[in-house]
Amino acid sequence: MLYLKEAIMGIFKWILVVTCLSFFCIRAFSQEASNGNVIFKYKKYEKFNLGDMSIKGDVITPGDISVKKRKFIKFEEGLFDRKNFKDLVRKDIRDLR
Amino acid sequence: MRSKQSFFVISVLILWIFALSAGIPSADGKVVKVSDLVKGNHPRRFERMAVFLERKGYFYSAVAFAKEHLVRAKSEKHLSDDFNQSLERIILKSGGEQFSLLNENHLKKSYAPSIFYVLGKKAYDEGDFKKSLNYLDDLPRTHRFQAEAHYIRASIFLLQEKKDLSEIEFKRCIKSTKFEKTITQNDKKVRFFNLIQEQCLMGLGRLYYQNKNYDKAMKSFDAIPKKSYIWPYTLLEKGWTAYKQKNYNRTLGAVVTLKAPLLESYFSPEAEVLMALSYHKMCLYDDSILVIENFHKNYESKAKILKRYLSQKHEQPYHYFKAVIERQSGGKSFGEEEREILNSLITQIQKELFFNLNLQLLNGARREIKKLRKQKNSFLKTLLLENTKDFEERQLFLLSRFVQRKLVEFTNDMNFYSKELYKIYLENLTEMKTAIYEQKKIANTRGRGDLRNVKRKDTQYFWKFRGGFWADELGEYVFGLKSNCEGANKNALSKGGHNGYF
Repeated sequence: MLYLKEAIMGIFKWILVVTCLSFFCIRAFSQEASNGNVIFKYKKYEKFNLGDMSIKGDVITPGDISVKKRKFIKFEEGLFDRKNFKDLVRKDIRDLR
Repeated sequence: MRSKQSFFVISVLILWIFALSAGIPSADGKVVKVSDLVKGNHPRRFERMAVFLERKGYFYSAVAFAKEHLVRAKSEKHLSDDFNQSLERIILKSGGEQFSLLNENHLKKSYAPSIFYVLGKKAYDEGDFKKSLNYLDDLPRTHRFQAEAHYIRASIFLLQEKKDLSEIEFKRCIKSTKFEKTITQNDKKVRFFNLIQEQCLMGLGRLYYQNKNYDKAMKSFDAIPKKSYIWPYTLLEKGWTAYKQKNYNRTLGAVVTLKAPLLESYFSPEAEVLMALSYHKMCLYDDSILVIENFHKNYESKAKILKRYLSQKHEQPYHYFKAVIERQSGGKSFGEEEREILNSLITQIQKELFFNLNLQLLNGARREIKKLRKQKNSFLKTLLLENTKDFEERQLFLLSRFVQRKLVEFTNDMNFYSKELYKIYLENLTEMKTAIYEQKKIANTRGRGDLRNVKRKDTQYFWKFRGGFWADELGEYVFGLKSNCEGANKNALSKGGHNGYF
């Protein structure tokens, strides 16, 4: 019985291998048939201006010390300014007899 | 409550006076029978007492009777012509401050011209400008308070930004003081009207400043003589006017005058702000920072000492006024720490118009008390002494409160301007930092003071500073610094590197 089981398993393995090989062969032959007419063309002459090329990102040379400007904060209250002397006028009259 | 109590005491004493036929001392020392003065329990006995005392020269004793009658009279019909005339003289002699405590309805019963001034000033203090203007308009044109009435009116129009009306009133004030000076022989009155005239000139200058007419403003400030008590205060106004004209060197010259030994007591925190601002505008950031650092080094501790002194509980009544008087007489009224700052501030306060006028009234009341004490003992003498002492106490309260208020205002000013100086400090640092980022040159060669940088008009003097302050030069100083802002606009790298601070 044991020998029978091993013989059946061996046959199945061979069937599986043969099936897979035949599948890949069919697939390869069918692709070869459809791509057969594609022609690749390349530019015969192309000019590269290296001066016009820009490089994205930071360029830092090892010896550079750089300071980055932070976002400028504008104070809501400006510096002290005298538009009039109304406060002093009020005080002067208050202290009149 | 106090007026009710005093009224009760006065009523009882007057009845005793009638019963005992006591005498009332007159100004020339003669004794007048009270029974001749007031007969029976007459409803107008307070009026008659006020008139009698006023005619005998006891103005301060008369105040309480006059106030009592104003309160008790049902309408203006109950105020005789004699009383109105006496009331006018009482107010002129003893001031309107004591009457301004009465209710407006009581004061309105009288047609004494000075009452209109008292009502106008009272309405101004309460913030009712319209009412104040109406009352002041009722003051006769030739009245002695007219100059002050013009001054108040002009100031109200200035606050309301009615430029033309304010200008007219300030000019009328100046004209009115000139007229008053021509008709009086009294030196004290001449000095008083000079002071009002100078305050109106100052007001006119402030009005022009407010309306951005800086040339005219400067002319008005310049018209105030250097001998005037208020002249040191004009330096700040002059400094601001020059600042608005972008003449920062003249601003620095004006405010540096306050550092002269003669004006040491006129320290103003706002002047320090103006100085730091001027340096900042000229891109002299290091100088600006130095002014701010010196301010905090010198005055931060003084402000704390002052705050501590004001927060202390002083058991002595009228402590602040007494401290001023003790200082005048050389007494050690302050501790070692407090002495320097308080001495300077008290010197300023003593020169204020309000302080001087009320001090004169206090001294007048004290003279009257002395005169009364020389009279024979009687119930009336006791009564009059009590009235005059009430007046004296009220004056002491007013003066003490005035000194305290000035000290508090100064402490608040120190705190306010200290914050403003911090803002300038930060702005200086920002500008210096920006210059680093943008690789700009901030300072030139820092060569200081050049006559080419001095902007001067024909009416402005010029002296070179020779290491000391001279009285006739005060107020005329001008710096000759070159603005560094011009240097800041040039790119230092394009000239081959930094030559300035960095």
